Amino acid sequence: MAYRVLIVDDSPAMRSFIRRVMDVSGFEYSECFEAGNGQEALEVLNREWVDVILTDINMPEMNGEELVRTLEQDEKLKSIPILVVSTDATSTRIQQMLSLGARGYVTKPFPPETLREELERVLEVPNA
Amino acid sequence: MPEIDVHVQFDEALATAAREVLETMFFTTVLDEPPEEAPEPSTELHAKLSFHGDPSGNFWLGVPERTARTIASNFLGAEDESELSQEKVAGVICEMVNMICGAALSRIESHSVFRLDTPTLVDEAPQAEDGPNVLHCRLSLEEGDLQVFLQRKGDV
Repeated sequence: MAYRVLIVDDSPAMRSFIRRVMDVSGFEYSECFEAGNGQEALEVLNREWVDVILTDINMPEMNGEELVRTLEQDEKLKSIPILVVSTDATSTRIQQMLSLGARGYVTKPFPPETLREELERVLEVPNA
Repeated sequence: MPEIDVHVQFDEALATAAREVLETMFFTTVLDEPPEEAPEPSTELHAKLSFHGDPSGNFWLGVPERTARTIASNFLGAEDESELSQEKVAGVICEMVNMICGAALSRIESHSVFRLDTPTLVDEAPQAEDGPNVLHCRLSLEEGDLQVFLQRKGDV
């Protein structure tokens, strides 16, 4: 099965890097959408269904924390697994995001296989 | 019992964070010693971000422009680095600043929560003064040295 992915990060360079990591790590995706902040992500989700969301935390307009809170309150969208990808490796922040509803948390820097493994884990890919 | 120099430990934590980010995400080798032949002088790019939390402060990075282009090429998987626009190189360097600062803060202040501003390129070189609140490291890369400073505001 190939998945539909939404990458939310205010850095175009980071969005490109994540796409590249998904490519080289062998993660199978059919569509990859991008958004520069939480607000743009909601606009994408208004018109496209995705299987998983990867989001940064620090972003302008609507940050990753607000995005997770908003999605958790939406009956239709709260089932989409969210994987946080952030430089913030403090235990306080990781616990906070997981308790808000994120299914996984990857800290930068990360090797390509870590991202693929976490994607497959939150998507509950069989035989991953 | 030997006295532990916390400042040295923090400098090492900064260097370790920078090295890990460069090697893992930017596929750039950090040399244990400076190259025998000094690289040709190149103009430097400087980037800065402010962080807010306990403590707050500023972070700077300086890197030769030629090195910045190679790092950007590695990160984006570009086949020809000369074709990368200045905007793309700047975007990658700002992302690198974000990652090194975040990784360093997570090592040094592992129980605090920080908010990082968006990094920006700046014209001036780092102006951080020496002192107990300033951490500094210089890493040798094949194309030239990369320097980072982390300055914490208030008492440490």
